[in-house]
Amino acid sequence: MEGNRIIVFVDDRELPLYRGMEVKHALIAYDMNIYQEAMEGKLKVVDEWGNEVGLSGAISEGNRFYIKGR
Amino acid sequence: MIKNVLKVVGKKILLILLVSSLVISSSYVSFSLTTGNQVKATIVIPEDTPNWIQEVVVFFTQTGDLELPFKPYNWMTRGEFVRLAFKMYPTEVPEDLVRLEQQARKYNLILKEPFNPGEFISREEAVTLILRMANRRILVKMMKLSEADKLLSIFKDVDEIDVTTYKSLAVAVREGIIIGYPDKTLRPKATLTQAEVWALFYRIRGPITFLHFNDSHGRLEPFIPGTGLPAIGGFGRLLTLVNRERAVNPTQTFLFDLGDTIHGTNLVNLFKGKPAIEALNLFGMTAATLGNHEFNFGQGALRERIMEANYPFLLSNVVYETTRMPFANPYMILDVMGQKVGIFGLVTSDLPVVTHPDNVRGLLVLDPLETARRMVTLLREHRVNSIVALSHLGYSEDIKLAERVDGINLILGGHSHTVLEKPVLVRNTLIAQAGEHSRNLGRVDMAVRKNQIVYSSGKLIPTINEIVVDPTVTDLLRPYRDAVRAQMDRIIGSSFVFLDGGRPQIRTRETNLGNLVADVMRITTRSDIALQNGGGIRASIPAGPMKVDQVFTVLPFDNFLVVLELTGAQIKEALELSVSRSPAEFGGFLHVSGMSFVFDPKLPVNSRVTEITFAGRPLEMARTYRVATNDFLAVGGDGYAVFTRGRLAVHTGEFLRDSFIKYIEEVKIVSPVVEGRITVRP
Repeated sequence: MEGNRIIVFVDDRELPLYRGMEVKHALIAYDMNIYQEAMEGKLKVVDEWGNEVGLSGAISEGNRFYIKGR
Repeated sequence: MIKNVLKVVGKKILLILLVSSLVISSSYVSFSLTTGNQVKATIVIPEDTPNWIQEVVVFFTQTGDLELPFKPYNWMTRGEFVRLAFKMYPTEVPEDLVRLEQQARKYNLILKEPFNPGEFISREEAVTLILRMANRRILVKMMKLSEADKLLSIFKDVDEIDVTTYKSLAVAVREGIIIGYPDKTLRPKATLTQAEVWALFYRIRGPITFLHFNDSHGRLEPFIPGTGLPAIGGFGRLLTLVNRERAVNPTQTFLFDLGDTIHGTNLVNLFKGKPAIEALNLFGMTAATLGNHEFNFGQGALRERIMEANYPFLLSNVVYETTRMPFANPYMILDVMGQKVGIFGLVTSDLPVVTHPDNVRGLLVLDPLETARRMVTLLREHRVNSIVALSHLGYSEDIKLAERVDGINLILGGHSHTVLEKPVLVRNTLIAQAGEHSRNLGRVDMAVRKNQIVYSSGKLIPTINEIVVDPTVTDLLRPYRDAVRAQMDRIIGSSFVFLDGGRPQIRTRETNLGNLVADVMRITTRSDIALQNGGGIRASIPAGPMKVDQVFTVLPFDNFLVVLELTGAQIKEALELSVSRSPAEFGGFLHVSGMSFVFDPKLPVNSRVTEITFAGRPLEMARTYRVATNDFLAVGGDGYAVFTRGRLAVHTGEFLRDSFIKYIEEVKIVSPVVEGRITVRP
């Protein structure tokens, strides 16, 4: 994408973000309540291969994340 | 001796011949030979075989070095030993004795005449010859007699050691290749069994252990991961684990940091990362790569940290723009008992985007994949036996690296904070990553023969509460911790006036503190306009001296300062959202700098903003403006989806809070007022 913008997906929803942003930003863009619960440790985020990722982990174009309970 | 000869049966089961002196074992244990996630075969060993033999047999069977059947308790002859040495350090293995002796002379593997290949080899002779094959003669030559005396004097039978092998045994003891027996003897003259010789070779040609961690972000001290949970993490626990794992494979264990270490908590930020480097200097690091956050304090501070480290930083895809010289050492070659491991580093190509432009001024970030191909070619010219990439690219980019670049055997990764419980095999490359924040130590054991991985295993070891905190780290960090407390109490400037951050005010109307925060953002980034949500400003500051901890209370969130390019129309859309709930409180109520506007709360939502002024003139809807804001708003926080339709011009990599502290330190005195930037039409 142009202008340093990228697309990532959370629970298969397409979200426009910027290069250099983190997993937590994807959650902010997805749903503030989900973001809050993830920050409180009630939820976790996994990548498309099922690996847990930290909320401060960097994101790349096309990354897919899924929200899971703990 | 009783021999049981069992042939290969079935498709994937190999039964090992093990000679037991008196008893045929009636129960067995089985081991799967794997590479990555794939099971190649299963071997079955009598259960009463000592663990150390099992480990050696499983490993060397997997690598193909050990052929079955195997007779572990037979004595090894000199001729068998020399043949094995040639196999381990691949050279021609002659069948006939005449050529074997010629080859042994060529490689200096004859300690005394005559050669006598049928004679059983002694321990001291075997160790000496192994050091010669492992390219360790220089260490033997450099070993001082006084040091050798010191190393060997602890053994009761030191006087039995031949003078020609004395220094070799000392080197072997120092390097951990041999450790002696529990009765404090070395038994230099003892003959060796097959198993004992293979175990010696295991120490120098066994799996290489790669310990790794990434994205510590300044978590040098233990921390509470959640409410009611015990403390975990910290470098003290990490060091305990490193020492423990190193003891498992003392001769061939190496430790790597995959970046984003020196920035993230007060303990490191306030000292520009110095405590992190000092702590890691206790670890016996092999090498590290640079993450994007290593650049947050500027190139000057980073250079100081690199100089202070007692280990190298490797980075092959960042160069100086004008000279094309590398910013850091691009690669290194480890000599692992005569085997060469080539190692290079890579950082994300997002680096220019995720740190303040000043921090990377004059630097060029090259494409990681192209760089990796060049590094593999270069390292192959150095005839390395295996290649490792220290990657701060992120897991999905590591997968691309493994898919598109031939020749990398192992990628140790970071940047995406991915928790890979076990290394993942992509084509012929293993990828590993250990999560974040000193929560795990990663371990990969790998053996490579002829550029192929023939053995691998790996795991993550969590730094759970039960792991003892190494006191050397605690002691080292104590003065820094005390200094942090002093720093928090430090006066950075003062305000002539009360700075109003009270909740009802900051979320409904213009306040002087809102103005000040927005001004700091605009001035720091040299932007046209700044927009800051009231919900991010959490307290007021009384008039008088201003301390660091007060700023932490006002701006507690770790929000980064960023600059977007937005059109006038997009700015208006944002302002409309800002006042959409007026007069009710709204965390997204925007405080502004560099502009002013008027709104009428009686008008319909999305049509309330009636006037916007920039530099004394109406804001132009089609024009693009540089707008400083925080990363929370930039990604659409508080409903500001409009910000995601702009262009990210700058990510300073700096917390807004730190920018605020720096600004106050610079200007010393502030006296902001409410000046009519946000006017409510009555």
